[in-house]
Amino acid sequence: MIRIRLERRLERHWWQTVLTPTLSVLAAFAAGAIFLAIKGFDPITVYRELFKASFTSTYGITDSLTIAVPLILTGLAAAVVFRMNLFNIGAEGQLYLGAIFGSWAGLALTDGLPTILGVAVVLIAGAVGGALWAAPAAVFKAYFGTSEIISTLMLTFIALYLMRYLIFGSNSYWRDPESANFPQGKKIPTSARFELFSDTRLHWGLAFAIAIALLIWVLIRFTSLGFDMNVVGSSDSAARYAGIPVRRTVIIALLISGALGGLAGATEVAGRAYALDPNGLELGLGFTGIVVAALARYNPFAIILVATFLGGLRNAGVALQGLPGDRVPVEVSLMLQGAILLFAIGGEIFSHHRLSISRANPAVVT
Amino acid sequence: MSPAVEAGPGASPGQPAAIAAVNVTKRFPGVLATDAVDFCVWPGEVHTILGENGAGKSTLAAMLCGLYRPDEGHIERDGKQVRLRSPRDGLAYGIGMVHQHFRLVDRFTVAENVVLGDPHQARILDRRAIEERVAEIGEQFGLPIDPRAVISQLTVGQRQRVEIVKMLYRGADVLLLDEPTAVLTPPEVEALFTTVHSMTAEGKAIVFISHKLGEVMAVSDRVTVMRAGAVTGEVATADTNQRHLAELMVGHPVEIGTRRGSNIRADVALSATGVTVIDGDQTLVDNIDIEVHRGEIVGIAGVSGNGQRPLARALAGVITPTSGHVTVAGADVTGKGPKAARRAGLSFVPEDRLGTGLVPGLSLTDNMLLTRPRGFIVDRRSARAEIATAIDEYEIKTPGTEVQARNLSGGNSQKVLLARELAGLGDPGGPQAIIVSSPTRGLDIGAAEFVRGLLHDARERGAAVLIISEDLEEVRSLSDRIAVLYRGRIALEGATDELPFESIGLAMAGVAHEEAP
Amino acid sequence: MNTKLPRGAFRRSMVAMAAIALIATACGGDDDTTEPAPETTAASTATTAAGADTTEAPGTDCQVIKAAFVYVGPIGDAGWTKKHDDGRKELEAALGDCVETSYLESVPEGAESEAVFDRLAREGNDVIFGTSFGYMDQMLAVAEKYPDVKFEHATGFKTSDNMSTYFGAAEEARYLSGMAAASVTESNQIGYVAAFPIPEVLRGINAFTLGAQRINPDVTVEVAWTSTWFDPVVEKEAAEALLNGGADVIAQHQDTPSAGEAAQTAGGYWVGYNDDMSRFAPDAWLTAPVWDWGPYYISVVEAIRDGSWVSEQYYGNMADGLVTLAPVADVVPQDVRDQIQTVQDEIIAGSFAPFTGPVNDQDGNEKVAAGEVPDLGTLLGMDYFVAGVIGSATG
Repeated sequence: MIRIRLERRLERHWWQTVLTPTLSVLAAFAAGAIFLAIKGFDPITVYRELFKASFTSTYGITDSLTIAVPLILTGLAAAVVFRMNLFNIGAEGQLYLGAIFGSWAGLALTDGLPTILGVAVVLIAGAVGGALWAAPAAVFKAYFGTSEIISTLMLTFIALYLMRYLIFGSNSYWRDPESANFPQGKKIPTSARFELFSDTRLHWGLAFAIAIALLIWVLIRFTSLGFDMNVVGSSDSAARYAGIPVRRTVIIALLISGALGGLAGATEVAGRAYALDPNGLELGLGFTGIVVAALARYNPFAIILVATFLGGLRNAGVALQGLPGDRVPVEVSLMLQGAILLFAIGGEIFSHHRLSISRANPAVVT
Repeated sequence: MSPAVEAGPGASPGQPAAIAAVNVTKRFPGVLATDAVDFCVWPGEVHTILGENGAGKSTLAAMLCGLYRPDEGHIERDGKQVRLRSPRDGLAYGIGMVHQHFRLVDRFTVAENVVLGDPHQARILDRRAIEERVAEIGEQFGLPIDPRAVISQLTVGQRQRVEIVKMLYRGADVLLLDEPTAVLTPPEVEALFTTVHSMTAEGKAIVFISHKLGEVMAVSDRVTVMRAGAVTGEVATADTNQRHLAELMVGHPVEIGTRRGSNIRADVALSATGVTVIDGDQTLVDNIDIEVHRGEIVGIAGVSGNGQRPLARALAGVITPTSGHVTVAGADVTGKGPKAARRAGLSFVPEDRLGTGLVPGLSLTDNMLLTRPRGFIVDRRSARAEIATAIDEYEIKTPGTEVQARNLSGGNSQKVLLARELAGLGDPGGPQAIIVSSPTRGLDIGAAEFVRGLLHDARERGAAVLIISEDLEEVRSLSDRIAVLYRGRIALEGATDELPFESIGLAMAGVAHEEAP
Repeated sequence: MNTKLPRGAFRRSMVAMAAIALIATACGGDDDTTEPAPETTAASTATTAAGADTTEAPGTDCQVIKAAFVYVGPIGDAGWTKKHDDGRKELEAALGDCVETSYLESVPEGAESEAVFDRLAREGNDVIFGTSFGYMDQMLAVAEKYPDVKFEHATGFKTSDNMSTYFGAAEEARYLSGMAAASVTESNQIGYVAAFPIPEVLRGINAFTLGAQRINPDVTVEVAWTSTWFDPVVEKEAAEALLNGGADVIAQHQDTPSAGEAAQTAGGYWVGYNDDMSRFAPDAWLTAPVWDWGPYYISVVEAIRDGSWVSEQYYGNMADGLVTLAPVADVVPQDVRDQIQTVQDEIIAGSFAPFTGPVNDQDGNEKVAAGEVPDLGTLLGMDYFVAGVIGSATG
């Protein structure tokens, strides 16, 4: 008789950390392949085209990386608090606020500044905006124990409608008075825009996002604040015992998370949209960040890779429709992303446990 | 082999055992929990399963009541092989288990809890009939209980009675009591033993699970001793003594010595004056004064839930007392938080080791840093060296320094905790006073002895040590002075060797010692 | 990705409503072509205009024009994108082997669409149609990089040497639908579920109201803003709120038929949009302003073929057939139906325009003097409500 059990792992090896998400992704693609086959598509062709569209040509790679920029930041926004069991699922709304603040700063403050300063102003304003939008959720969580899942989600909807209102519903500062028959955001001056890499659409926001990932890694791994965050995330009671200010740490962590979400919005403004553009921002980048973080197992460096991968998947989604022959619906790439999340969560179990397969009569173990 | 061969005391010869485990083996991942164990109880007998934590006694009990199914071997009831798939099956065969952690709904009455989940209960409750039957059972077995009382208003001892009544109501003839005395005061223990004997007088078979030698000797007819999943001996209580049982339990001769401080100094390193903790409308700690001198161990005895936890937390600065003052080595640290108390020289080992004292999700290295001052950048090098040394010195069983604390056993996590909290002992900047809650709870005899040695050593090196423990034996074996906590107050205080055991027991039960006979 | 939020603003019809069956449109499907593929005598003249990638269709002597369509939502069953795709099919049917069309659905607006247009241009399309406003800046940027490719942007206002815009005067049909609505209301209250307070929508509401007042001067039109083009739930809730407030006819500037379902449930009437949606709420159905993009698409591709394509801002109307009115339901009294027909004939003939003065705004200010007809520029910038509309023109 063979027994199969899940056992808790004592130690995790680095290769498991890499292997698990990789297997999750492969499993998701396998599930996707079954779905494609049922739908009458040849999975190999579809996946080959998907890869080709996103990662082979210069345009493909740079476009995938362009999408990766906000995903790195929203991925970090999720990771930095999810690992503390604080579920800020409102990076989407914080991104909108980052875009609102960032575009305001870009319009109001950066004219005539050197580009590097102008962009810095936009980014700082975006981070402040995102942090402010996380602040109510943080305070309610710290002082009243209000579920941050609910509050950040509600704030996301408010942010969404606020952003729409600023452009569609009012003659706000953000709205371009020239946009006579269709409301649009006012463009920020070039001094507030990231430079592009040669004639691609990829901008220096990529380098910025990678630098932020590095910074977050240092914060978590080496600073006292990161240590406190780890303790509070693992055990409230231990934190109180050690005299770590739990409320303050929770608030700071959620503010950092919000600031990262806000940075995602600001980089979108400074790197692609150049204006507060609700259409161009309502892409679910904040929510996708949760998938990025989960798949990257909250590791900042893995987040860079996963964001690039999901960016490519997203980039390819539309391209797949243009395949000669049968059309692959854009929903396929969305479905794949959903499947990857599911398998990532499944993979989580296997990275903490191992399968033990044993015969019925083992030697005596004590 | 059929177990129905030798007849124990109180059993009729030729009668089959009420319940028997025949050659049962149960494995868990990496552990052989029970290894070909034979065990039987006659009707009218109290048979104790004795063993340390992890010896396999709870696993054996779980198989007897249907919670686990044996991998090999089988269970017999009245001489017939039975297959128990669940505790419900067990109850159908008249086998009932009273767990250490009660399974009662706080807001229901006694009677409601008794019938809750009973598959044989009619859909429509005849309250009066149920209440009468509950009262009747209570009377019959010396379990006085008001069937209409709401559980949340009952004491721990009364709740345990409800659990027992629940099993009897459902027709259990075999009762398994899992560490029933752990939560009881000495008088409640006495009452429980009376109940046990009135049940055996009715022909019921009792399985008593314990690791406390004194009780085992007092209540059992026979004792089966287990170690590491195997039976190391089965003896009639009349033919044995505590020392012999301890040897069977541990595998080698044991010495539980009494130790006192040899050099108690005049200066006080830890003092509490008028410390009071009020939470809402409940006074948890009521005007407590304590002084612990350097070189002295003071033990706080008492039944769990009488203010130990808030007292320890107030002294350590984790919570701010509502009134009163705490000083550590002369410095007033009242309400200044745990960090201030530590700076003044206070170490604190909380009762909840993994989760409060240690952070389950952090590495051992990081756990060493938990109560240390940390700069902007965390320096792990010295902490790593420190834990590596402690692993050697304290014989901590761990795969490495970077393992998460959650993976350590109770004994090993207590060692890590003590290594951190006792570090620097004897140095001017090291701990001057140490508060230790439940120092050995859940530890096996070897680890417990090691921990007691550390605490004794700390005292001898000039620290003021405050032990807060529900284990009266332990408190008596180590403390120079004892204070008994009852409902947040010190009910009795004095030098250990001058306080009669009986007065301590009465004080724990809330009977003032002046009134004691 | 966007599953957690209501789909983005300005995205015309987003998620396909699975339960809805395909509509057989009035504009015809693939197979009712009456016109054979045109004789391609112009082939020799078109080479320069059509760009370098143009190839010859096998077996014919015409050049094949590659036309790509970018849709903001899925084609679905009855909405903005569906009508554009119907137009694409008309184009294919009309030009046969001489045109090769492709389309991409659910392309998000804004920055991310730039990569899509770029790729379509690189892949050798001769003309790329973008059917949503939010593609404007991205199309313009890509158009600059690919001067040999023609870009056609629906609803926008920015043009360049190789980028045109196209849209149309839905207000003409809205005026007529307002007449139908006013003929059946008993409470004299009409509800109007509308997406955003922008000139296009304001123009439609005002035209509708003026049409309604022509039949019944006591009618008021109450507006409920939804801040979305496509959200069945929000649209339905808005319609229900209006119905509860006393309205007995619901009109809409939205892309789903859910307001009609609300009207039918409440026993009221409904004026749809985009297409003949009568099947979704047959008891409530009155009529709807309907788009027919096919003729325009055919004209664009033919212009490219014969080299006559020039950048322009096309604003079609009922006379062009770009805008039509769906057949008016029988519940509208015959005399009103006759009147609607008369006014429609006048509009097509150019003898009447919906905004012929006098037109006053909500506060009684005269916006168009008696007898005057505002020019197109004025209409495109409309930012007020006419008297009789209840609601705020700024949201």
